[in-house]
Amino acid sequence: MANNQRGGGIQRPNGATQNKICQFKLVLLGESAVGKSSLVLRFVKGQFHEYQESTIGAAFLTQTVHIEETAVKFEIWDTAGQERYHSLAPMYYRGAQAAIVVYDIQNQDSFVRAQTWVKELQRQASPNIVIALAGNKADLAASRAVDYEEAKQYADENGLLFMETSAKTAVNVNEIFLAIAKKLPKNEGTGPQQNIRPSGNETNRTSGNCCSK
Amino acid sequence: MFSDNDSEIIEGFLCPICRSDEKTAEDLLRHFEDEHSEEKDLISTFRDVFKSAKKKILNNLDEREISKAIESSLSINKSIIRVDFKGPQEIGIFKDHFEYFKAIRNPRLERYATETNKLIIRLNKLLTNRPTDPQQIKQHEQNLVPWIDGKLVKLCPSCAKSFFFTRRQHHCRLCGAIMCNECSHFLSIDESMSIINPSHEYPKPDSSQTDVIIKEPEDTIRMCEHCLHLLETRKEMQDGRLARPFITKLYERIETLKKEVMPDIAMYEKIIKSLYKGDSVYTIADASALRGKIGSIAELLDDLSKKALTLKAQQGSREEALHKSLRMGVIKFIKEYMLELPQIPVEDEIKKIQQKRVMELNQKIERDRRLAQEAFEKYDLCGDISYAATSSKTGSALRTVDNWSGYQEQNQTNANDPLIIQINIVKGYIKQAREAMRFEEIESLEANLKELQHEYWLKTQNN
Ligand SMILES: Nc1nc2c(ncn2[C@@H]2O[C@H](COP(=O)(O)OP(=O)(O)OP(=O)(O)O)[C@@H](O)[C@H]2O)c(=O)[nH]1
Ligand SMILES: [Mg+2]
Ligand SMILES: [Zn+2]
Ligand SMILES: [Zn+2]
Ligand SMILES: [Zn+2]
Repeated sequence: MANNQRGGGIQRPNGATQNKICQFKLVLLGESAVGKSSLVLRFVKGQFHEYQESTIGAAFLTQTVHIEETAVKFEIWDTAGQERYHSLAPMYYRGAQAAIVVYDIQNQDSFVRAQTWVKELQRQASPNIVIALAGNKADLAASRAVDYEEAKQYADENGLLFMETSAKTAVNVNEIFLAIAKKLPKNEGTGPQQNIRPSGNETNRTSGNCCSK
Repeated sequence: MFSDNDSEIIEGFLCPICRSDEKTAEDLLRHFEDEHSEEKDLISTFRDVFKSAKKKILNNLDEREISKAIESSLSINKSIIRVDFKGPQEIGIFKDHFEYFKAIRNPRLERYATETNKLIIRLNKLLTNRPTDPQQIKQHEQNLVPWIDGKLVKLCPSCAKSFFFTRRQHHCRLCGAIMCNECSHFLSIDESMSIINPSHEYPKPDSSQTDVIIKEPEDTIRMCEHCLHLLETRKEMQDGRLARPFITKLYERIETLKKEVMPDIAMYEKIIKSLYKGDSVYTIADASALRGKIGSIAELLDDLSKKALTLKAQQGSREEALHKSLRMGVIKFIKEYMLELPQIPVEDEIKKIQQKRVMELNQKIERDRRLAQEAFEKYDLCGDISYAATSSKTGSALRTVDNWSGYQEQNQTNANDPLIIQINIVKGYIKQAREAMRFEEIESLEANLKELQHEYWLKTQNN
C-alpha cells in the first residue's frame, strides 16, 4: 500500500497529486506509567526510552499515516496520567475524534482505571468518538495481571477497538493507530469542500472537525 | 506508510486550542475558562489572527513576573536561600544560584591557591641547588625561609605539649613555624620533586610505607601538618586531573563507538527498506558492506566490554559491580540495536520487486493516459492529440530513467554534451561515495543524477 506513496521521485504525466488530507484529534488517557508517552514516541519517532519521564501537563505531537490515497494526520495529545492532573483531561478530550485508553497488563488497578476513563469518555466526549483500548507492556506478559480474554470481552461489550501493545518491542503500536485511522469517517468527496485539501497546503490549521460530521 | 517525523514534541501545561504553555495547571484551567469556554467555530477562524498578538502580551507579562521574582529571590540571597517544599515542584519560574555559589567559592579557592602557590615556590627554591652536607642544608633552608624565634614558643602548636630537653623544637621548612618532632611530617625529595614537576618519575614507595617517617635530613623535607595538607590537596587534584582509571577510558571508548555506529545502523535499515521498495538508489552490495562494518564494530564493542571483566576488583565490591554493568550495558546495546538487523535480501527477490514496480508505474501511466484520452473524447477535444502523444513519451521517459545505460549507448556521439559530462562526473562521485560508505551522499547524488538524466532526455526529445 505504501509503495507508490513517495510522490517526490515519480513524475505523474498530468502533474496532479492525488492525496487528500484528513486531520484528526486523538487523545491518550490512562494511569501514570502505563506507557502512554512511550506508545506515542514509538509511533511518532520510532524510539523507546527505558527511562521515559512522567509527563507534566500534556504533550502534543503529530504524525501522518497514509491509507490508500488519503493522508490521515493525527494531532496527538498525550495527557499526564498522574491523578493530580485529572482535572485537565476534559480539555484535551473535548472535541477529540479518537482516544486511546491505555493500561498496563501487569497492573489490574490500571485496567480498572482504564474502564473509568472509558465511562467518562462515553459520557462526556463527542458522541461518535472512536475509542481504542490498549493493554500495553505486552512484552512483559510473564508478569501479566490482566487477562487478555477479560479485556477483549470488555472491549467488545463496549464497542472499543482492542489490542495488546508494546511500546518497547513496537508490537501493535502502528497497528492500533492504523486501526483507528481506518475506523474514522473520511467522507471522501461528500463532506464540505474545505475538509479535503491537497497535500502541501497545510497552512490553515483547523483544530477539529475535519472529515467528521 | 508513515511519514518521517522530525517535528518537535511540545510538553507542558498546553492549551489544547491555542497551544500556549500556561506554566501551571491552575493557570491553564483559568486561561481555558477565560479564553475558550464560549468557543464557537466562527470565533475559531479569527483566533489565529489574535493568537500571535495575545501570545506576545502573555510573554511580556511572564517576563515581568519572572524578573520580579528574580529580584526578590536575589534579596533573599543575601541572607538565606529559602526553598518551600510544598508538594511536588511545578515547572515554571526558576533561579540559577550558580553565580552566587561561585561568588562564595572563588575567594576561598583563591586563598588556598595563593597560599599553596607560595609553598610551591619555596619548595622549588629549597630543592634547587640543594647542598648535600646536612649543615649546609640547614643554612640553605634558613636563607630561603625565615624561621620563627624559638624563645617565643613555649608549647607545640599542634599537640600543645611543652618543649623540654627531650621534646625539642623543630621548624617547618616551608613556613618556618615551630613544632615538636612527633608533629613533624617529612616529604622525600622525590615526592617533593614530583609536586613541583608532575612529570617527574621516581620509584613510588608502596602505600603502606608513606606513614613511615624517614628522618634523614638529606633526603627529606620537614614540614608542619598545615603545609603538608595544602601540598597533598593540590597533588590529589593534579593526579585526579591527569590520571584517569582504565575503566573510564574503556567506557569512553565504548560510548564513542556506540555513538558512531548508530547512524550506520539507521542507514542500514534505510538501505534495506529502500531495496524492498524497489528503489535503485542503493545496491545489495552497499547493504552487505555496511552490515560488515556494523558487525566489526559489534565485535570490537564486545571485546572492549569483556576487558572490563578482566580488571581487578574485590568480590562483591562496587567496583566489580561497575565492571559487570559495563559489560551488561554493551551486551544489551548489541542485542537491542545490532543483533536484530534485518537480513540482507536475496538478489532475485529485489529484482522482482524492482520489475514489479516499473510495471506498476507503467500500468498507472497507461491508465492515466487512457482516462485523459477518454476525457478528451468526451469533451470533443480529440482533435488535439498532442496530450496523448506527450503522455506516451512520458512512459518511455520512465523506462529510460531506469535503464539509463542502455539509452546512453545510442548517444555516444554526444560525448561533448555538457549534460553528459556532468552526468559522468556525478556517476564518478557516486562511485567514490560508495567506496567510502558515505551512503547519505549517495542518495542525494542519485537524485541529482536522475534529474540530469531526465533533463537530457527532455533535450533529446525536443531535437
Ligand atoms: N517493558 C515495557 N516497558 C514500557 C513499555 N511502555 C512503557 N514502558 C516503561 O514504562 C515506564 C512509564 O512509561 P511512560 O510512557 O512514561 O508512561 P506514561 O503513561 O506516559 O506516564 P505519565 O506520563 O506519568 O502519565 C517507562 O519507564 C517506560 O520505559 C512497554 O511496552 N514495555
Ligand atoms: Mg507520559
Ligand atoms: Zn488557549
Ligand atoms: Zn607536637
Ligand atoms: Zn609549615
